[in-house]
Amino acid sequence: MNRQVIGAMVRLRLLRVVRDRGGLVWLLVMPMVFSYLMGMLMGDWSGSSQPARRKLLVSDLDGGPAVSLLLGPLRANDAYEVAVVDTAFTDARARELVDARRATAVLQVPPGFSAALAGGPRVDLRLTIDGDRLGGQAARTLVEGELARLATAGAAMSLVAPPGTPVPRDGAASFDEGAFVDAWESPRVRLRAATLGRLESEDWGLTRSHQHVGPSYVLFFVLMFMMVSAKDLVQERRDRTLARLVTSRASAVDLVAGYFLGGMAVGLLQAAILLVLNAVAFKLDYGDAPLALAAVVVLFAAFSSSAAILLGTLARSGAQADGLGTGLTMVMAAIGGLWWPLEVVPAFMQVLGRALPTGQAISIFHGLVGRGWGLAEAAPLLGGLLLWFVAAFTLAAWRLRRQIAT
Amino acid sequence: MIEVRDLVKKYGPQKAVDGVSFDVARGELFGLLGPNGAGKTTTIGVLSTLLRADGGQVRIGGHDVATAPSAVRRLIGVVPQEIALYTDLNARDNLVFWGRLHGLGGAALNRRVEELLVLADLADQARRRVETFSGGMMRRLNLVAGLIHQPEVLFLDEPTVGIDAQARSRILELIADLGRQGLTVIYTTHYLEEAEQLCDRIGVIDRGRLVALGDKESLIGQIGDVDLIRLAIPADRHEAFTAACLGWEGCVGVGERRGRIEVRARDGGQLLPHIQAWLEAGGVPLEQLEVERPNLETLYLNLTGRGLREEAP
Ligand SMILES: Nc1ncnc2c1ncn2[C@@H]1O[C@H](COP(=O)(O)OP(=O)(O)OP(=O)(O)O)[C@@H](O)[C@H]1O
Ligand SMILES: [Mg+2]
Repeated sequence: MNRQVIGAMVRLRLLRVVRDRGGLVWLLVMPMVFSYLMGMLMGDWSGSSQPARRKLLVSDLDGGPAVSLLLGPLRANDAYEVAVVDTAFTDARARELVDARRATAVLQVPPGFSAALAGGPRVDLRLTIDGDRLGGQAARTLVEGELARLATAGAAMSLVAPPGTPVPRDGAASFDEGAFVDAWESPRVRLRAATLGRLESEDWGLTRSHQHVGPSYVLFFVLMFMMVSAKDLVQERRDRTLARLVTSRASAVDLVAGYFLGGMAVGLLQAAILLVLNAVAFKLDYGDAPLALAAVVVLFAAFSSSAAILLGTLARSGAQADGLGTGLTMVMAAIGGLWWPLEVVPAFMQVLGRALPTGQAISIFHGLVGRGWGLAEAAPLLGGLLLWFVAAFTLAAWRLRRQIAT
Repeated sequence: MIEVRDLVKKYGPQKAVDGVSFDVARGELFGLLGPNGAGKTTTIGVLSTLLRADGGQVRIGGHDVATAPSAVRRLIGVVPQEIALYTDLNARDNLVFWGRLHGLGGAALNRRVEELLVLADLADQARRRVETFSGGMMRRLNLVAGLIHQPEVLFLDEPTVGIDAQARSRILELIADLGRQGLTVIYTTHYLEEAEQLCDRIGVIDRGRLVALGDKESLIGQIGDVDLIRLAIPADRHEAFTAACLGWEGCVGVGERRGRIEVRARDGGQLLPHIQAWLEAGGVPLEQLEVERPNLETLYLNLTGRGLREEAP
């Protein structure tokens, strides 16, 4: 490795970026314009992500005393607001309400609930929650606990006396075995819990759209700027500057390192400036894990630089490199959740998104900004980014070396 | 300085260079002359360590290009056929970059860059972006960029293509100067006049083969003192003329090119009366007749049957 050669290549790359006025617009100006506009469009997110109180909506079609008993502890809990209506909800409507975060949980109590507890015909209660929201799970635990108490009390009574008759003093003597087996095998009331069936849509902790938009446009424009620079490599191959590089003192390893680190330098500089501008302009706080923050920025720039070299060695013309670079960046941005958060897309798209470097990087940013992540929490996603970088770099270095040594 | 032995380079099954051998002495200006697609760039590519040969041997300054490419690279400067520069940067930044890449730095680099800017006559344009340069200016900068590390051998691949006559002559002067300073130069071109004017020795390459090699005089000697007579007569009389012509004393060969008959003769003056008599006897109208003394063009025609500026088939 020849440090002077690599240094010269990095300086050249930076010089070319700085001298290109039009390029600077895409390097720094456009990202900030997008950050401002999209942040403004997407507005305030505090309403959806930080409910002041968790709301339990109860559709009480029974109207009996058992419902009050069931809701007692929830009413006593400050974290919950219990609203009881006597209209019926369809299951779909209940899901909708939870999905739209109008309610943390919806409990549907059918007619005959009180009677069932007292030995009447069996009924099912239905509780709809978002299984990945802590508030929903807590509501479920509370309702289940209370229901178990009520059911036990009711069953205990029905074991010793037929419904409606007073309980005899010597309960054990008149233990009705048939009634026990019946109550065991099919309890009078059951709670059917319905979840939304989504993956990890727990509160993400972001309160402002800028917290998503800022980092996501930094990532997007770092990748975009890098990928369209692939056409420079195509140009160097065509106008034989690459040949001139090869016949200089630079070895193949120097050239690979020079191209890679040149891209890294541009990407890191761009990311650093944009992150600072976003922090100042939109009061963004990237959390308290500087190492994790540095790691995600460095790995993402390293991946982008490698991917651009790979593209440059594969494309046959500058226009092809431009088109492919732009297209790939758009697709990775869309699927990876740079334009809209992964949290709003269906589960399988979230899995796909988090498999991409863009999705991994933005998820780490969400964790750092919104959930106080440290290096440990970010580690799995950083590992994914590392894999992408290693794969892209290996391929890029191999392709470039092959092109250099014809 | 340069020894090339039985050089072969293939692209797939096609042999772009097919058994080429020549030597270039230290300080010599060697011209590699050939039409488009002849294999000039490919030859230069192998000599400058860019391409790996499929056969034969090339030594430069005693180093084998295949086994000691880095030793060779220290000796050589390469000026590609294309404008191999960063045209979005200015002239000075380009030279500084190439200098750094060759290990120059500090005051030595600055001094060398100024020297080359003067040499290329671009000293007052040093801070202009190369993309705003004229073709001739670009070519001059392209050339001096190959000199930044003071190589002993310079490869120039068609350094004058695509520029006007005036710009061309400036470049040729520049190269002649370098030759006088003792640089060994291999110079490819498809302009005959350039090779004739500039080079000590010339190799003529066609379809990957070296078809002639030597200094200008000896090349012409190789075909002997043969004149070329061109005449235009009606096409339906070509066959009869050819048959008759081959019987005359002094006729070396008859061919046809672009609708005209070409006769190669040991002595044109001796053959002309025969031609005249034949034309008069048959009442054949003569549209045009010219006699050419031997030069590289006729040599080239003799060797390849094609003009220098024609496209390769
Ligand atoms: N990379 C390549 N792959 C396949 N064939 C090639 C390649 N480069 C050159 N050739 C072929 O090899 C032959 C020699 O090409 P070369 O470029 O050496 O010719 P040249 O004498 O430099 O011509 P020109 O005057 O056009 O520059 C041509 O037939 C060309 O088509
Ligand atoms: Mg060529």
